[in-house]
Amino acid sequence: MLIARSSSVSHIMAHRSKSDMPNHRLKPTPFHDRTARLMLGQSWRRWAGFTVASSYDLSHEREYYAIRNSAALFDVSPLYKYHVTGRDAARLLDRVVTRDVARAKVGQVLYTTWCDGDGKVIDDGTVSRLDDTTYRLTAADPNYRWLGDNARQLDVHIEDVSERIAALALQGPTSRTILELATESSLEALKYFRLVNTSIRGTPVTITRTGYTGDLGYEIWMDAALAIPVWDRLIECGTSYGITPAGMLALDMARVEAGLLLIEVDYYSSRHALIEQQKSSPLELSLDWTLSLDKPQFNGRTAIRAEHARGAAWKFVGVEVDWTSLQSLYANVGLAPRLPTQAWRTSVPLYQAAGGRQIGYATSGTWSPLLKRYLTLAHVEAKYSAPGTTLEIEMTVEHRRKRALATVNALPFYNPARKRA
Amino acid sequence: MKHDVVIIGAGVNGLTTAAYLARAGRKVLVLEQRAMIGGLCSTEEFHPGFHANTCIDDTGWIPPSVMRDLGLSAFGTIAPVSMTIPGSGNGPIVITPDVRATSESLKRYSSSDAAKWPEFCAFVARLCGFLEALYTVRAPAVESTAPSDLLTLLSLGNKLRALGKRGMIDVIRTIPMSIADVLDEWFENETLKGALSTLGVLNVQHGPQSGGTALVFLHNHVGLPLGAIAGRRSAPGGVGALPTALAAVVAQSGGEIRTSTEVARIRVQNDRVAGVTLASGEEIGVHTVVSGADPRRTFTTLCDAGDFDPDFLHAVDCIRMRGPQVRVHLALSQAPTCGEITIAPTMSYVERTYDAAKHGRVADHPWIRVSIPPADVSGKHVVSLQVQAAAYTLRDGWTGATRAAIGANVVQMLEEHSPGLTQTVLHCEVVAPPDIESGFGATEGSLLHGELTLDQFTFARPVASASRYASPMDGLWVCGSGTHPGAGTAGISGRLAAREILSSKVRK
Repeated sequence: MLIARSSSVSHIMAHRSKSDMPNHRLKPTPFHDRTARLMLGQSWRRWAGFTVASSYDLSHEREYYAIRNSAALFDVSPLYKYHVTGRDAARLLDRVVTRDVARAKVGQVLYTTWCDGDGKVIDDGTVSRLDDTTYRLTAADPNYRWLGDNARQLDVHIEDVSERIAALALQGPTSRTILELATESSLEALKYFRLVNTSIRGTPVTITRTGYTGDLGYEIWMDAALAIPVWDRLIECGTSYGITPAGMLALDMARVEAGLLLIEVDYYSSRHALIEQQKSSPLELSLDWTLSLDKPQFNGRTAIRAEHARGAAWKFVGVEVDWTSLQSLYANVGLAPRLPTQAWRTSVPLYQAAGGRQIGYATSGTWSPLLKRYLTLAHVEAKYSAPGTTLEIEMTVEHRRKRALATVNALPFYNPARKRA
Repeated sequence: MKHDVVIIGAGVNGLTTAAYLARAGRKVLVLEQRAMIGGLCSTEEFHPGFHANTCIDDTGWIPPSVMRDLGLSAFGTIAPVSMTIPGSGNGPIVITPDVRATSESLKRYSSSDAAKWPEFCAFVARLCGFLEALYTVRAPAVESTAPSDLLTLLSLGNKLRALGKRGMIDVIRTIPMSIADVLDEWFENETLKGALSTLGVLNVQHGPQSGGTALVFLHNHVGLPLGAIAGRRSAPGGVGALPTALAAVVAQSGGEIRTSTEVARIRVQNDRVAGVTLASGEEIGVHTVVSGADPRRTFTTLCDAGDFDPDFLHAVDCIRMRGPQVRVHLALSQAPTCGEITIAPTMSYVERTYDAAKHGRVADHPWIRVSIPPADVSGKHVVSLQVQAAAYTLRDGWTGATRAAIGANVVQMLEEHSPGLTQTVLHCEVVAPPDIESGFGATEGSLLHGELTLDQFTFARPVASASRYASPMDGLWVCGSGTHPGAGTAGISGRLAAREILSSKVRK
């Protein structure tokens, strides 16, 4: 059915002139010329209007292992990016985000959330201080209008540079070596969540020590028109260090191990939530550490401070499925345990131990081939959020809903010393 | 802290709030940017020896509760005014509170209209009775299930039901209609309908054919006796007399009023109001600020934008202010002969003035309502005109020449009805919407502090998240005409705001 429908669509499209439909097609990223050549499985996916790889190989397994054992190269160009400049740039960002931007030093990067007036999360991303009065905000969703709405009475210029700036993530234990070769400089001094300006094969780049894998890793930001030589140079320098272009499937597994949440999966933007219950506060997402509650102004301040005082009703935690329990559920029907081969993104109920009531739900999960553990990211009522708390998780075993034992874990599940070293 | 409450603006609602709060023992300080109190309800000298009500001729309905509470019984006797509509051939139609006399006057043009007039007056009174009930309680909270809110809704529901099936249908059906459709259903004479339709578009940038102008018409009749279709005039002593009386109540109760004192910024600290900074630089520390200024000015000019959620400020931006009215005051060497006429020959004529306004032009043929202030107000021969001719935003901007042209045009139009008037004009003062904005702080020259239309009514006034006088900022309240029930009613907003403030847990 699906094939028949898509072929008829392309048949119709073939009869239209190209100028009729520029906006109906997903856009190629600045690296498309390179990534398309590697794409064996034709498994593209949509990300913010662009096509990116789910996996280049027919299976994402090799790409996943590259993140943890060598270096994986991700095309993350579709991220939304905004340059905020001017005398009041820090004031604007401080109105918007929950971290204290004014206190960030030049060259510092902050992970942060931003909220609506009720203290519910709109989006999360990073703020990089590029110079005294220039900041770059990265975001999962479009935020140009929101930044503009907050810029009232301020002397500030906001530019959407999403398409002008290309971005790569190089993540994994050999990433530093590869980048040092590519930049012909030492990155020893580049600390976690700091940035440096340098160049790769003549292309000026900003390298931030950031990522979405919880490993040693870097993100490289550059002019989209000059992006291809950077890709080529990284591949050239990285081949003997196991550099592996990787897609979103591998990344999704790594980010669950790293305990990093994903918008529209682990939480809904308050902009998109249909009902109040779908919204989350930063406290409910266990992002307490991103809140500068003493900042005089930021959207949601009053609500968040009040919630902070009374304690959040929900917490976002790691929940590990108990192997023995899972095994016995399968053994009861005469099967060996079945494990997901990819990270899943569905809502799975969590219960009190011993057949009690539902006290939460997992929103992401993966089998960790590295840790040999079944990991999930979950929302639980606050009183069930202490690490070590035993819960039950719904598992569908041979078409029947069962409950396996599960344990609350502190996040991240995987936190190698090299991440920050 | 020296004061418990600072009130911004010594207009009618600011002073009413001040009076109630001062009587309840709060130490109240009222700050007025102008040299005199009264705000839009000011009677001023516009030419040596000549006085007029600068912006409006009527303070609006003062409900009995406010009169009783604040001892304003002197203002209880309202003076309904008549409306003289120059007719074609058979003499003018004169609408007075005397239903039978008006009917007689209509008979010369249409026996059908004359026959329907008493019924129409009763219809208006019935619908206004419901609005009266709606206006004297705080705005219904649509989503609330608190017992007090449900009681409010229940009492309004009962009031509606008491109108009977016919009355209920009349209310629900009429309010969203255009005044043109309503008048077409009742009357046939174009001259009558043209003049009456001005009461549906008074001070709003709409035409008689715009939806919801029936509500504006009804709103302008709340609190008036049966048959007083032409409105009323504040009495005695012009509109300035009411704020003067209110100021006396404030002073008697220990409140302080400072004029020529402009507030530049409402200061916030730790998510609540900490005081106000004056234009002079002086700082006044206070935990409760009540703004009688319009909501746009209060939230987007007097506050730091970072103190509010942008969604709230966006809602405030979306309030339609749009003052369409130009006031023209003529100082005359002798009394005019035309009387208090309304020049609005047909509904299409009135609609065309709106067409000009919406396209940013000055109408060549504005609709005009003449009022002749009594001698105790004017001192000499004065004609004050409501001229709905233009918009706040003109395509070519407002210049001195624009004002002069409007003045010359209306004098010429009046000349037709009062031959020789032109020679008696000593001075022509034109007060355009930008003048009302700069002189009185009313954004876009809106005399209503935001158009009083269906979408900016009751629980949506000024915006849904501030419809009960409390703003999203702890300690900052609003009490002006931009709140429920707002413009056209005197002191109700102030009274209800004071009640909310007194029942909240105010930190001293």
